[in-house]
Amino acid sequence: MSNVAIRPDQRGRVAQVGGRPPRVWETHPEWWVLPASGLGWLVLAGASQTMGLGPAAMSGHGGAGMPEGMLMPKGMTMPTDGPSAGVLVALVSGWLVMVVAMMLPSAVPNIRYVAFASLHARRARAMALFGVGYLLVWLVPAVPAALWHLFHPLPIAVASGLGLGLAAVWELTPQKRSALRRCRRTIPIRARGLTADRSCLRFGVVSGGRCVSACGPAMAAVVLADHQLPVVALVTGLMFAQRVCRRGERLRSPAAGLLALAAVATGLG
Amino acid sequence: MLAGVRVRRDIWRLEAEDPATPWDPVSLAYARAVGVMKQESSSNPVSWSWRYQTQVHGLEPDPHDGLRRQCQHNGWYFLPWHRMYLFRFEAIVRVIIHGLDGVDEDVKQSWALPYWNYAPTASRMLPPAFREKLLPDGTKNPLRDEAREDHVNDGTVGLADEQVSSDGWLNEGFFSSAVSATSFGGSEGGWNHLHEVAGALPGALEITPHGDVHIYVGKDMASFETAGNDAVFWLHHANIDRLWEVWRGVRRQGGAGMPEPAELAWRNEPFKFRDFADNVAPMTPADVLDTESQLGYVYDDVSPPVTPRPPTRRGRIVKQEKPPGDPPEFIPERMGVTSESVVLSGGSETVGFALTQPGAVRSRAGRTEPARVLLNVEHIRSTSVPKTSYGVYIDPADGASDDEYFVGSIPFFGLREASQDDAEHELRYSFDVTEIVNALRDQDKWDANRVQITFRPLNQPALAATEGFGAEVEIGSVSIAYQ
Repeated sequence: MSNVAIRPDQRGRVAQVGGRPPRVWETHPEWWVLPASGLGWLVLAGASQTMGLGPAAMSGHGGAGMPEGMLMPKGMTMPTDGPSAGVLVALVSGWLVMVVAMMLPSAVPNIRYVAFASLHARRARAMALFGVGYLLVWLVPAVPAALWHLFHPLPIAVASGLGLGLAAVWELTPQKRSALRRCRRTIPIRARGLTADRSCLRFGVVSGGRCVSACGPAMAAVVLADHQLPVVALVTGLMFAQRVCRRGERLRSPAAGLLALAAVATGLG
Repeated sequence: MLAGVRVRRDIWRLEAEDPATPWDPVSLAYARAVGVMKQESSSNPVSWSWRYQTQVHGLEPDPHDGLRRQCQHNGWYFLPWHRMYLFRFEAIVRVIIHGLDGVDEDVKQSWALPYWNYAPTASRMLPPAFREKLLPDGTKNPLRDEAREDHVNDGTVGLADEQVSSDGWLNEGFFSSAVSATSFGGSEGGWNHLHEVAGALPGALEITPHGDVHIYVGKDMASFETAGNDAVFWLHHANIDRLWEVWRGVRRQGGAGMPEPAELAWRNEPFKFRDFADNVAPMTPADVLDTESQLGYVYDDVSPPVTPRPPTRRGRIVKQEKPPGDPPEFIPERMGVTSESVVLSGGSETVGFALTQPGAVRSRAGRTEPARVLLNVEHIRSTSVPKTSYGVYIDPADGASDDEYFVGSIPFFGLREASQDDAEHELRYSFDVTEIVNALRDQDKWDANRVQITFRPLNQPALAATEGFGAEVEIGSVSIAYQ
């Protein structure tokens, strides 16, 4: 017990080795998400210049059957007998990069919770398991998103206006408010062994599911808008603000207004 | 005392002035004013509506008017927000009393909201004026709320020592904590009505006696949406407001400065209320720090309460004065947590879990020894609120069940709201158990590798003989953290 001795003269103070202040990774172990997201944004921005992301893809739409969108290289074409594994991998990879860039920062409060609800020695493992669970759930909407990009059943301007308009309406529903509140809810994280791993993974899955329900329509609008970078940036900012800002649920109305404006702008475009 | 300053007085002492009747002039004037408010006359200002005042505290769904559904809990705005709420309410009652016939002129001039001091053993029941069915003139007593636990309205069960203990709040060294640890007034964070702030924690005063008294009175008082509907709510919160004055008096002894947060995010946060004429004006915590000069009232007694120590702590734990200063800055490190949930259904429940060896954590995190040991009770949920608080106890390592140490109570106020499907966070509590760990360690009864915690309903014999304990409660996790 000697190593847990709590001396009365230490009350209200924290003993430190050599007076060293806490390191930033000790107080904010969740901040790795931000460079990860930044990297994702770099990839997205680069892809919009060099690959079939965003408006650049529009030239291919409805043309010679080239299914562009997300991170599909411009030169890549779909075989006549259907999409190849390479195309699907490119689409799903692009989707995951987009989720990391756009949605993972919104999960920072939950990742921080996982970090400090875990034993110190398990902190990195706990955050990683949370991330795996979170991204696994976001793979589900990757399927319809990929299909959309492969077949593009509607002109981009129409789809974009429609998607952003519906996302604006969703912002004003009680269901969105409830989903947003649930996003912040935590579950118990266990201390050791498989039980602990399962609780971290499960929290990632639960958080991912709640995130999909709260932000899914806005993400769908991004897909329908063919990942135009201004739309991607707008949706990211709105979703992040709602999740992280104080009383974020009150930002739903302004978010709806901005999404409606974007619907008009892209629809007319 | 400044001229014109009103004095809030203990209702039990007011009523004791004439033992022949439960009514004293201050309580009777309050009852008649509450009667006016409950008439809900459309010719009166909106703020005079009893229903409106109840809704200011809680209302579902959110009307989004910035005036109702505003109560602040589980955080550092709890105390200043309720002080503002009471100040506006008291002013409305005073205006109404001024217009009442048959009220003594002295009472009209000096009326101030009384408080219910439940620390003395003789004051643990609801004050008689709130239990009477009729006013002296034979009309219905507006102060009696039928939506209370039966044992409260009929006066058969009083508050237990553990439910009014000052052990937690009076000895708390810091008003607030930025790192999700125990404090006097609640954790730092933003606007927090329904657990919007991740990691938010109630302060020690908000837990006991505040939450315990809400749950003891029960039903209306047990829920955010209806608590203000019980006329005793306002006297209960006047006492909590008084205990804030008691604590700051203790902390300021020896010339120490203001113990409240200096952060502008706390001091300048605006909250809006309707006044007696329906004017809407924001108030901030900085506007309500000095009750005498800023709000025009004082309390007749701000000496530290002498409450019997809970039996399982009495004479066994040495209280150690915590010096004023900044709270510990490190985020608590979790040392162990339960591997499954525990369900409370009226009896005792014991959970045990392993603790990690702290040495490696200390050195890796740059620290040598913890300043505090915290016991966290989290992810609490239920479909309804139990009829009583539960006591939390740390069992000694030798397993002697009659030798446990009382940590604090978990009162469950706000449990119904926090258990809703779309609530943002479930209810959680944190207790500073450093003194208990020290005491156990001194007696060689602390096992560094394992801890055992027991939950037991308070007022157990009295409630078991009458109505039972009500709802089952699930506690998702219990953990020990070092800070």
